[in-house]
Amino acid sequence: MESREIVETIDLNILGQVCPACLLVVLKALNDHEERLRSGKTRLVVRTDHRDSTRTVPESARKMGYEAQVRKVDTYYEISIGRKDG
Amino acid sequence: MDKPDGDLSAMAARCSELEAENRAYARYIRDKTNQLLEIMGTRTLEPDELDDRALIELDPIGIVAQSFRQIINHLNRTIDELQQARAGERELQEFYLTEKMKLATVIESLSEGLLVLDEHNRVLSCNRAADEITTWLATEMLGQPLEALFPELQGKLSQDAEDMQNLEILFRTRQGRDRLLSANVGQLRDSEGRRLGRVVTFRDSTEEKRRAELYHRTEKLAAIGQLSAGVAHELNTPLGSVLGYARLLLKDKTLNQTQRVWAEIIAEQVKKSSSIIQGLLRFARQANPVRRSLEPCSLNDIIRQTLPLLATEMTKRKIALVEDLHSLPTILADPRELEQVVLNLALNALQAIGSKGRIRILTRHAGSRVVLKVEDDGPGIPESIRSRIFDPFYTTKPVGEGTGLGLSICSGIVSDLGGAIDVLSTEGEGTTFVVSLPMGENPSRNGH
Ligand SMILES: Nc1ncnc2c1ncn2[C@@H]1O[C@H](COP(=O)(O)OP(=O)(O)OP(=O)(O)O)[C@@H](O)[C@H]1O
Ligand SMILES: [Mg+2]
Repeated sequence: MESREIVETIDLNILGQVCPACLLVVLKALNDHEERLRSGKTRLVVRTDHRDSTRTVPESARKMGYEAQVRKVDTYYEISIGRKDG
Repeated sequence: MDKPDGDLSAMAARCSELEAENRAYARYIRDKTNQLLEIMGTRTLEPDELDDRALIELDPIGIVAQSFRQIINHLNRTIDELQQARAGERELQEFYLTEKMKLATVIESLSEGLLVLDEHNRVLSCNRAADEITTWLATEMLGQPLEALFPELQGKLSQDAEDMQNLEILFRTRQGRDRLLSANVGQLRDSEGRRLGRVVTFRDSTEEKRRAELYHRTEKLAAIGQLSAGVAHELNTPLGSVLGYARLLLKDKTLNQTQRVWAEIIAEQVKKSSSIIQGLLRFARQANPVRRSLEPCSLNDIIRQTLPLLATEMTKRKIALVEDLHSLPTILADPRELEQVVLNLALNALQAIGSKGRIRILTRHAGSRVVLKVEDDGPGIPESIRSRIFDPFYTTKPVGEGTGLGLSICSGIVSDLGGAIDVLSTEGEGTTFVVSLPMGENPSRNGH
């Protein structure tokens, strides 16, 4: 994954934001940017402190055929979603 | 002002109706969203997570529906890839199968026998030619150690020996016939060079060997024939003058009795020598065939003309001659050659009998063939030499008495005419030579 050259990232910051239904928000972003994400040139990076989302978001993304990684950064989580290889 | 009042309450009623509708709508959307999220396999919305308004503004059904489309597309892609992979796999499998089939067909259609052995020299597989040559069924060969099949070959395979070519091995078939096999052995290795076993190919070289021997013999005979012809020719002239002078001497009245007997012996021995030379010349002619003149012949007539030549000898030795001649169609042959056949067979019978006995000469018409039998009640021919009597120069007679050419000349003449000559004999009881010749209806056999 590291070797992959990512041209750009789309940041979706739902930190602290009173954001109910985080999942729906991420799904919307995935729908809106489908083409760019599928091309492999763009990744969606979601920042959230909603613990539940670290499970539901990658799960849904994978079902849709994306690759998803979760990383803990300080006090929040970073979920990176992009094209699956192979 | 009744009307506005009435209007107001109507509006209030309408409002609460709309609100109820709105709530129902929001509930419907929430339920649907949850249902869809559930189907997607993720967590449903908490009741307090979004208020109805925010929920409706978010267009959750649209989002989820759109996500669904992505999931389905992804699934379709996965299915496509799987199918392609499977198709590729099938193609590869088919490729290997056809290659295997091709190889199997090639191996099956080989005229050489083929055995694949494992590292312990046990038969792993074999082809059809292998079971034809060995007369073992494939099912009997499989799993057998090589030793059981080719004991001789097993001994020749030393453990580390590399490929071996043209090994001659003797093999006995189920019917007890001995065959000569020519075998090649090759090492079978995997891609890393480890020994897996061996491949043995073999063919029946019995006929080949026999033909090669026959060829060498014929070649040798032709050479001997040429040599004989040359020597015979050279000898004929001096012998002619020896005979001539012997005859002159015999006319001389001044010779005394002893001298006369000596001169007679000289003349007799010269005649004997020249008959040997005639035999050599006949043999030479047969080994290097020259033109013969074929004409329709009556075998019976030829027999009747030839046998009187032996009459004096027969009566002298108390040998009875029985003629049993049936009417025959004519055969296309050279009459002088037929005469030779009859004479040679009759002479052999005469010589075999010795002092007292019987010779029977028989002719028959059998189908499209004419059969001649010359039968005697002499000592018979021992089994052990029966296969050699047709060989040129094979004789059991003392030097000077037999050249061993009689039967080889006969068999040459007979086979040139498309016929066959056979011998039946019981030791102590007698011998019968059977000659069968094709009828002369074929007009293309003439002149040459
Ligand atoms: N009728 C027979 N009975 C027994 N033995 C025979 C008879 N005919 C042939 N043979 C055997 O076959 C041998 C070969 O015969 P073949 O006629 O070829 O030569 P040969 O008679 O010995 O000599 P040649 O015919 O040249 O004078 C003979 O030496 C004899 O041993
Ligand atoms: Mg003879």
